[in-house]
Amino acid sequence: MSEYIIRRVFWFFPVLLAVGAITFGIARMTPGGPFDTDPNRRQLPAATEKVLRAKFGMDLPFWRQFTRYMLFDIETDPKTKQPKIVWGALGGNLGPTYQSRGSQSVQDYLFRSVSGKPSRFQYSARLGLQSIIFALTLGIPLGVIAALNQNSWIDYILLLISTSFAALPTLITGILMLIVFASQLKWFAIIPKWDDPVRPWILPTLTLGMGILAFIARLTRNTVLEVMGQDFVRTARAKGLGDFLVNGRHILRNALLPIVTILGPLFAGLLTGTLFVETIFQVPGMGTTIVTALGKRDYSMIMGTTLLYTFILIVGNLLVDLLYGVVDPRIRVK
Amino acid sequence: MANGPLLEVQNLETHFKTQDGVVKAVNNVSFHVDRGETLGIVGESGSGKSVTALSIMRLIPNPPGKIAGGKMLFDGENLLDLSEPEMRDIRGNRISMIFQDPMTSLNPVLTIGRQITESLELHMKMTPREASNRAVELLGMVGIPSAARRLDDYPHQFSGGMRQRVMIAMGLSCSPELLIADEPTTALDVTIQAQILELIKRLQREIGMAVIIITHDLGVVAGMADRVVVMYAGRMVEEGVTQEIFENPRMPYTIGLLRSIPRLDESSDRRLTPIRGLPPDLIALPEICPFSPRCDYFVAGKCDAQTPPLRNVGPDHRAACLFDITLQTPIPETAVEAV
Amino acid sequence: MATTIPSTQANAAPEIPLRAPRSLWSDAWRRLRKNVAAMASIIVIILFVLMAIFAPQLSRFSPITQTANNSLRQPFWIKTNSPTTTGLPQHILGTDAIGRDIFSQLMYGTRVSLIVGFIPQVIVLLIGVPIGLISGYAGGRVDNLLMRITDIVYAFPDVLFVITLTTALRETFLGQAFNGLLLIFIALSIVGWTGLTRLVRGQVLSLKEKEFIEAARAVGVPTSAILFKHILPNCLAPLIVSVAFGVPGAIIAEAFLTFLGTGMRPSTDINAPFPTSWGAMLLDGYNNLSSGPWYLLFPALCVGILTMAFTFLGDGLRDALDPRGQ
Repeated sequence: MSEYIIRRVFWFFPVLLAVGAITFGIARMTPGGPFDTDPNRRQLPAATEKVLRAKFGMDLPFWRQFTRYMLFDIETDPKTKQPKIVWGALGGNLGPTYQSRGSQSVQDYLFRSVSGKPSRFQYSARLGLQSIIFALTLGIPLGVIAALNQNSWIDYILLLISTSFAALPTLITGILMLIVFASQLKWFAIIPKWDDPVRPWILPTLTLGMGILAFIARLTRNTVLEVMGQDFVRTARAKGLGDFLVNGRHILRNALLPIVTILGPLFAGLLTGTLFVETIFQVPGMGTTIVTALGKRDYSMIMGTTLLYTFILIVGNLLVDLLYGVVDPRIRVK
Repeated sequence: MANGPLLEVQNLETHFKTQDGVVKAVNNVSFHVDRGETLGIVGESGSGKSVTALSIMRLIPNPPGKIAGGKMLFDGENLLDLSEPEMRDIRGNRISMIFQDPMTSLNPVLTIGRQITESLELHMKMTPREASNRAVELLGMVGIPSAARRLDDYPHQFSGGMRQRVMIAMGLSCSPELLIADEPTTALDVTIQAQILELIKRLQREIGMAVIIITHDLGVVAGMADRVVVMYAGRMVEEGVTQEIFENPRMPYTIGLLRSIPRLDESSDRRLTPIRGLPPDLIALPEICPFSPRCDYFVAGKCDAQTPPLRNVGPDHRAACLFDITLQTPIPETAVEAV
Repeated sequence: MATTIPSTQANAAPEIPLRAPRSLWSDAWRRLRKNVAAMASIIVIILFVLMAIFAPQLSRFSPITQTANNSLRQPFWIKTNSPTTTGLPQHILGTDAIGRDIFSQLMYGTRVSLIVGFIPQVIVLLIGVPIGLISGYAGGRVDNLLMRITDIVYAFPDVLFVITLTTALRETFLGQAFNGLLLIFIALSIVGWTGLTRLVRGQVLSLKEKEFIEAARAVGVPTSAILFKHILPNCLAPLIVSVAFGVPGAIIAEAFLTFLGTGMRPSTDINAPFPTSWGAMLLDGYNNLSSGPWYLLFPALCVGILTMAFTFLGDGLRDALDPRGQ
């Protein structure tokens, strides 16, 4: 098992390198640079621009820029005249952001909390966690109830609601929620104030959560129904076990397997969902960061956040695979 | 209560509602099982034998199925009158059932130890420790080596034959009075089959329980059963002592079955004659002899005018045929050739 | 109780009727017809297609004509105090911030959404299926290499890649072609082909070892024929379902990209076939939310309904084509 983990972690590097290379390549393909494409800012004097370009290492050859960014570079310290290592992404350094003209690093921008307010990463993380917890804690029980009461009115209502929400894209759910609850009913502000710890979170969490909840409820229902028809459930009943034991011990534990399997792709969907939701509800998280960075051609911010998202995604997938090993003994014990 | 048969099934009717109509999967079936004896139920797929067994256990899924009529007297009590909790008390405890495919009949995510102890904890009210010990004993009884260590193993870590032994251990854990074995060896290799059947016979003697063995394999029946019931299209078509049925079958279906299997004690140049045609669609079966489309001895005007009742054709031997047909009766020349 | 032996008179054994055999496809179509949601979805999709084709005939105004004193008009059923914003019957759904008719924009916007849903799927089919076939059939190092590549593309969060690519190349020739749609097609195709490739490869792998393939090889059927006549037809069912499910993702992607200001560019050319898109309407509607929800609501509803239609259709197709059924 540990060998499996090591092998998976080993794969992180080529994947991240490839993703980095692709993003790097795309970013460099853009005509113009970060210092001259923002029409709203004063154009920089040539001298300043030259200094900045040197600072950002844009004078170095392409390949060196890349390795410097992703891995590390060795340069001479101007003060001590000794060679020293400058870490890149490998060491957690995602580079300086262009929009701060080099005074702030990407990881700092994303992870630092300023004057007691949560960091941008924390905003996104909170949104994601809230949504998935909401979806799982409500979705699984609802799915089980629907399956146990198949074809009753409970089942039909649940199917109706979950099919609708599962089919509605998150973007549209968000817009509709915004229109109905914020714009029309005025229960929430269109432009939320984020000092309130609860209010501004409700609509975004519901938007992101409902889509996932609907999906999970339907999946749980179908899985439980399928498991209910399996032979070993008949064996359990033939032993005289009552509904409670049969449902809880035999059915549910087997029904969990496909649900855990789906957590991986679900996690990916969650990540992209946060992009939509953050944009519509103006959540000050990593999603809106990327969007603004794109507008301002802030290469390192774009690369940094992309790498971070990818990293989170592959770690998430690894965790899900491990969880699956815990839940299914057929994988665990060979 | 100590006299009389252990299980007496009278006029059992089990029906299923389908899109195309009502299927009478068990159609007026009556038989009995005495204490300690082995009854074999023989028939092809779709003959209703498994449904009969599930009906006894009252495990017919409702909807779409239901027990539409008849009585099932177990130790004098009609099982159909019991409430569900009372029935649960009997299942796995006084009447046990083991199934055909041990691969799918065991829960893949629970240890086999757990699957055995849950019966013990439920019916025998044992503590977990007592149940564990008893489970080890049971595994030993069914011939699983290193039983104590294997308690914590999962079904996928056992071979097919071993898994079936585990199923048997589970079935016998509460020393039932009646064991129903639904095709217990069909999914296993031939050599393992013999072992499993031997095991069941031995344990039956040790525990003193009755066994209903359901199979399509006449060889299994010959080796295990004291008495045999032959089913076709949901109906009983013949019933009697095993030896009598094999030596003197009186219903053309049974005769056809016996003619179609090779036997060691006959000359090797006898042709194997299969039964022509296919089993009937059970929906809206007309009131004719259900076997008539495939019967070599079919008589127009008689066999298609009524459903032949089971009638006595010998001591403790009943057959559902209007005529006295035996293995020696020649096949009429005008019978249709095999399609 | 008769005890005689049957006589040797002529007997006709009673007949048992057999059920008529059915082909797999007509079976599937029958099942699909029973699915109310799927049938309704087909009708909805056809309606939208008609809307797209006949947009010029259906709209009274051109979607890009700006009229003075006509901005931010409400839909015709809403009356306000101001004569410039009160609803008029000729502008059924009102006007936008620079006086363009919303209903016309909605009609023309259908074109973009349908095209964006459709074309990348075609491209993805053309790329993904051959690669999947080759990868699965050839096996060995070719397969390994291709699978590693799909792993990497798969690890990349889709939407991020599409956003990054479209934004970065916005000002290039690629980004300008077709009002920016070409770039969107390319971006969506690049992230979309992996799913299809894996699907096809999986099917090939499971079929490769089956006896009928061995038999075909033994008879001397060339590889290309094996791939196209034996293996591909077996993949068709999941392929169709995959395409149906891929369409909503593409429509949303375009809507979101344009919403972010990085996707399609609305045109000011009278003769352009794609003057605007629902995404552009979403952006404008969002920015003008304070003057009314309608400008944001209508395109959102259209996107929602169209994507839901494809999702239900995909569900229905999957249930109909899966022989295991219920």
